[in-house]
Formats: sequence, structure tokens, C-alpha cells
Amino acid sequence: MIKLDRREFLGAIAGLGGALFLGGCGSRETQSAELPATRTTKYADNTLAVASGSDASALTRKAVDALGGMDKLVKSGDFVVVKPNIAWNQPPEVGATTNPEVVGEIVRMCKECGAGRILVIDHVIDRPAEMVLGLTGIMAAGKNAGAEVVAAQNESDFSRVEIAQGRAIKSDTCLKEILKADVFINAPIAKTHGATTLTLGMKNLMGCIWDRQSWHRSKLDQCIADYATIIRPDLTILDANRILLTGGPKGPGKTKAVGKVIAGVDPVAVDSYGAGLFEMSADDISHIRLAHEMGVGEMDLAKVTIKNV
Amino acid sequence: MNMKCRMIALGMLIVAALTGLGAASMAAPAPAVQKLLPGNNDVAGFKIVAKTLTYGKGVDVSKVYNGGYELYTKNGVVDVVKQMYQRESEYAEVTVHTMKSTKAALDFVNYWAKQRETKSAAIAGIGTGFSVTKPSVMSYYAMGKYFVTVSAYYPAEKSVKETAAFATAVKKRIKA
Repeated sequence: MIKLDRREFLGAIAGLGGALFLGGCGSRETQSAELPATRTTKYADNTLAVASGSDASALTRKAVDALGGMDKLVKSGDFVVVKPNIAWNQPPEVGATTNPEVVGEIVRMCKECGAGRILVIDHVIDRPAEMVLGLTGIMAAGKNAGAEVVAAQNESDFSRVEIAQGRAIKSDTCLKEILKADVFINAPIAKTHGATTLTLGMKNLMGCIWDRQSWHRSKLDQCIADYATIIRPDLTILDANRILLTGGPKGPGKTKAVGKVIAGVDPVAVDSYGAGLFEMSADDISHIRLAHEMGVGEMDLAKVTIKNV
Repeated sequence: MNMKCRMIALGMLIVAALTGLGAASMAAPAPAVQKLLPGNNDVAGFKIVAKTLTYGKGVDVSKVYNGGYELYTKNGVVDVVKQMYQRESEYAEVTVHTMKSTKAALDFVNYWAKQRETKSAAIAGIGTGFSVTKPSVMSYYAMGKYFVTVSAYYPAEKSVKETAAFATAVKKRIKA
């Protein structure tokens, strides 16, 4: 059996999608399947690291270190894409967007491992995007730590990908930069959500697609689970320093200082743990349950090793 | 790319161009709610930021609120339009919602007042509403069957007054 690493796998998906989309004509997407191979990670799949305290930067580092350190994932010269939640024109204290200190620390750790290029990117919802990047604090945090910080605003920033296992969607789009990356780190914030009850790691991947409305018109939770079958981050770092309890996803609403950062490879396990922060179980959140059923990961935390640090 | 593929691509481009021309010639008029948005300098020095106009009706209210849209539609929002304004480094965002009734507009303001742990009150010349300053400045108003919010992204000392000025500009357009 041939094993593909993340970039090869995503490149192949994009290539297949591009080939179908363009009727078999030669395309850039098809060429992306020929990207050079890179090494694979690895942290233990069934382990979550949960760091608790009050310093968001320190917690982020502690969580990653507890998994084995960023140098297990990022190698010299790598192209790393970090995908926080930067959807909304809200300052960090609202809890609608990822804490900029978390983003900054992720970038710093990647830089220390010799990453060649680090890109912080999201499909920003509010406008103007430059203002969103500024108000959320993520532009400053990312840049100061050594990353490029970009808002994807054009359809040309996305490539089509096929979702072979998809039940609600058989194809969609993905940020091209994610498909090109050696390492993809998902950095969501934990918050409530009007349509999906909670938004954690897998829901944050909705910011990788171009047409969000198409999911809202469809079975949203199933779309999230479908997408998680093909876009699998190398690492999910869930910001739960301050969680938004009401008024999500944009807020403002009631927030709670939880003081946690959760890191893991299994996106379902991370989300399952995240649901517990809201005194819910993974079973209460349809897309977590659906993703578990589709084999994306483990939602039963009794089967997951949790390292509390 | 071989000749056959080039011909297919050229054909697709021609069809797309013709379709686009046809669509442009039959462009729908701007929705009524869009005409209620303040214009350039309705509030001293504030100009419309290009490409920040967003409109949604029904499920497309999600274009403005993403996954939070159902809260709005369930509470009577029929359609919504949002636009950003700028004066040097100061930004304000005005969102106008058409509600299914005057009562729905008033109820929704009171819903938000409860969420923000404050109370709404009658505001002369505007309607009913309230403002909060934390975590950022935001004002909520019911004006007849419209529910209007104004968010300001600059210091409260100056911006609270100006959110009311934006609301007044909307009110004038409703009356017109």
C-alpha cells in the first residue's frame, strides 16, 4: 500500500478535482499533485495535550511541547500555513476570533524550527479585511513573530477539491496555500455558534472554502464532517483562553475565562474535548458525531490519552 | 494544453462573456433597504469604504452573519444590508435590517438590550434604542419596521455621539 503524506494527499485531491472541473485539460491543479514529497510528522494520533493557566502564549507552547514539541512537525525550510479564526471585525476580548497571542506563539515556534515561510491566512467575512486583520490583533501578532498575514478575498485564492466520502458535498474548494503547504496548523477559538451550537476545530475549516453560503443552504453539520474527511490539519491548536458562551459566532456576548489551550492531531478528539468546556458532550454537536461516524477521528475521550500540563 | 482544449476554453469564455453581458443588462434594482444606508459625509468626514456593501435576504442573511444568521431570521429579519464607513483611521459600520413588523423591530432591540445587560429607551428623532461601549462601541435602534445597528471602531468619547449621527442619517432616509 502506498502511503501519501499530507501534501501529497491534498495535492492529489486537488489534482483530481481540477481535472474533473476543467474537463481533463492540463491544469495547475493537476500539476499540484506532483509536488515534491515531504516527510510526515509525528505526534501520537490518540493524544491530546491540555495546557491550563493564564498566559495564552505560554499555554500554547506548553501544549505543543507536551505533544512532543513543534520540531516534531516543522522542519527547516518548511512552508507552514496557520489558519486561525479571523472572520470578524471584533477585538480579541470579544472571543469571536483566535487570541492573537496564541497565533503569535505558534508562528514563533515554527520560526524556531527553521520554517522557511509561515503564512497566517483566513477567509475573512467582515470587511474591509485589512481592518479585520488589524482589529483582531492578528496582523500585528503574526507579523511581529515573523509570518505573512493575509486575508483570502478572491475566488482565485481557492482550488477545487474532491470529497470522495462526502455525503452532502462531493466536491468543494480549499485555500490553495493550504494545499501547497508542508505543514498545516488549524488554530480555532472555542465559541458558541447559532447554527452548529459550537464552533471548534472542524467548523473553523469552513474558513478554507470560498462559498460558505452553499453549506448554509445544505446540511451544514454534514458538510463540516464531509470536509473534515479530506482537509486534515497536521495539528489543531484550540484556543480556549476565553470562550464565547453566547452571541456566537460573531458576538459580542458573554465570555468566560477558561485559561486552556488544547493541542492534538485528531480533530474529532480536540473538538470533543472542546465541547466539554461548554458543559456539552460531543454527542450534542452533530458535526462532531458525524465526523466520528465517518472515521475522521475519535470522539470518545475515554479512548484518548490526555496530557494535562 | 492541446488545441482541442484551447478551443473548448475559448468557447467557454465566449459563453461566459455573453451570459455576463445579458445579466448586466437585466441587473436588478438595488433593494429598498440599501437606499437607507447613509451616504458620503452624511456624518461629517465619513466616506463609504469601497467593496464593503453586503446584502442578504432569507438564508442569504448568512452573508452578513454567517452561522449566526438564524437568530436574525427567527426574530423577524427579512433582509439586511451592511456597509463600512471611514474617516482617516476611524471606522464605523452601519447595518440596516428590514423586519417583518414594527413590533418585531422593537422586540429585537429589547432582545439585544437584555443580551447586553442594559435597557432600551426612546431616543428623540431616532426611535428606540441603546448604546454600549464595551468591548467596543455599538448602538442598536428600532426605527419603525427597521432594526439598525451602528458599530464604531474608535474611542468611545467621540464615537458614541457619532453612532447616533449615523442613526439619524438612516432615520432621515426612512422618512424621505
